[in-house]
Amino acid sequence: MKSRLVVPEDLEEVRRKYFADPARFQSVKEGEMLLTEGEYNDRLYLILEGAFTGYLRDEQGNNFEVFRSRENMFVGVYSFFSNQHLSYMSIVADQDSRVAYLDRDELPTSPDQFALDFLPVLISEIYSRQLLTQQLNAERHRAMKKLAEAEKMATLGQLAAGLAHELNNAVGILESNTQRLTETMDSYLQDRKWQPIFRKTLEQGWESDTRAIRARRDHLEGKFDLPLKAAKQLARINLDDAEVQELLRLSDSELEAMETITNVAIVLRDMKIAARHAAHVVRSVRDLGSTPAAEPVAITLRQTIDEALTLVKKVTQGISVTVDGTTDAPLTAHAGDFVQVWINLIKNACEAINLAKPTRPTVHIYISETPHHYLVAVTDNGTGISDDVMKKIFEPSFTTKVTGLSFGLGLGLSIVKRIVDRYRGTVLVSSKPGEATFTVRLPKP
Amino acid sequence: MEKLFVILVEDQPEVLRAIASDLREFEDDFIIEECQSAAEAWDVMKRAEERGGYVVLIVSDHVMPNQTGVEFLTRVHLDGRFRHTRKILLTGLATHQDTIRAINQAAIDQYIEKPWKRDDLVAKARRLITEYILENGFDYQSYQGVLDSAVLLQRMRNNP
Repeated sequence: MKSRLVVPEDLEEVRRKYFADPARFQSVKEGEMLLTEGEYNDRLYLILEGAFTGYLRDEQGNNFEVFRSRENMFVGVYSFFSNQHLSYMSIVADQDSRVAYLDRDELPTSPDQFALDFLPVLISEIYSRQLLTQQLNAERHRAMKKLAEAEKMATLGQLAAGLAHELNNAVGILESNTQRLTETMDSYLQDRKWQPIFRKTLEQGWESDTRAIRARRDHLEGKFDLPLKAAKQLARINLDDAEVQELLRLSDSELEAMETITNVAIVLRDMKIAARHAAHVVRSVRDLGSTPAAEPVAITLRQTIDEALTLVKKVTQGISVTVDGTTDAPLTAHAGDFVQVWINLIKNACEAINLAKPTRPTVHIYISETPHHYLVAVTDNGTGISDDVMKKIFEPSFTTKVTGLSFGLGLGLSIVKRIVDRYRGTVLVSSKPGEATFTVRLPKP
Repeated sequence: MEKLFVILVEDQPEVLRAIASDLREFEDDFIIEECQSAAEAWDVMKRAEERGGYVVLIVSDHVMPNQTGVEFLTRVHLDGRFRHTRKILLTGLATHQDTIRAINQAAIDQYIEKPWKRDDLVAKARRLITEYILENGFDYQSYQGVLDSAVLLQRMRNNP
């Protein structure tokens, strides 16, 4: 709510009639008390220049602000017009100010005329104080809400940290044991003919596009007259026709061994991916409440973007993601920080795209530079961001994902903002229907 | 022998592979088709049917982009060609409303929660496959190795 100063048209008239006598002008120094709570006053003051604050004292002896008055406003209204002529609060000058005053006993007009002249002034005075009260109330309400929000976040943060700690150990064990198992298997296969195919499966995985596998399976089944089951397994491993031809010389038991080995490789690969994903989730939750300990290293933003893209491969499936720009943006940082920033921005972009379902889903990441900054713009052709959402977009625990089955903690963009803040950068967002761009602006080293 | 299909639908490749490997023991008698979306599954089923195959069982995830498992299974249920197809919904996250729709509109035969237990999934699949084989008059003796003996026995008792 904006504070409104109501200046009635008749103020000039009142001023000329009652407050024009320079003998009744008075200067008040900054911090000086014009009226004191509970003390006698029979003067009405008009502020000619400067500003005053009215204070009340509570039971504990603390002062708290009740209102502020500026130029062309009146103070001493209550004590002047009431019967007791006691000031109900203290009025202190916020800066060096000048006031003009009117003595109750020396009215220049008849009481009737005076009342007539002052009625609009009084109403405007009451109105502006009323407005101020409302404004203070609203501020208090906002402050309370913020406090509640902060408490909620603190609780959530503690919970998250505890959870992260517990899970971190479990995930760590899974991750390192998967690694050990993979190495054990690899050394067991050392110099045997299966090692290359084991390694190939481990590195490339199986073809994951089930349509492609099916087409390849049908092709192999026809071409080499294979049982469907065997054709499917071969189709998964991404072998070309020549390699398949080679394998077919093998005996049945050898083929069975090959199947087992590729199955083991793919399981190990999937476990590694799942463990890495879990570790990442745990890390993001934990990082909400802490700062990293390791030393920053020389990296490029381009590298962190590429790493983020490999981690969110699943999310970007079916979406064309392009990265280009005029620089690789070298800087000194914790790589993980920026990987996290891009992961969150890319995920959001993909979610907006999945909602909008454009015919050509694209995410475009563009890295550029100005003399003092790097700029990374992540643009998607998803739904765009509505004005309502835009206002709250960086608030922690604000989420658009509340309907049906997709829900979020609403931490993504607040993580982004936190990290970018840490590097003294800024996150800008712009949007129109069918498009949104998040731009991260970072100072060059 | 007739071509019998088992269709698996799951958008996450690793999870899809895990389901497929759990059901591997059916692979000698059935064609197991792994699909990453409802649309892909629908194409595969249509093609199978056009070529004289039978879709015996569908195991579908629920939360998938574009079309959910419940939407997909509802479509299957309403299509006369797949009237007898058995349906399992395998899901980690379905609302109360989804669950009601799965039963009322998609007429699913089994609801399995993620994470699933391999033995449980296999047992349920086996039971549904056996029911299908018997109900549609296929020669159960040629599939005896993979069928549910309890269901078979029950059937023999009822129709001596």
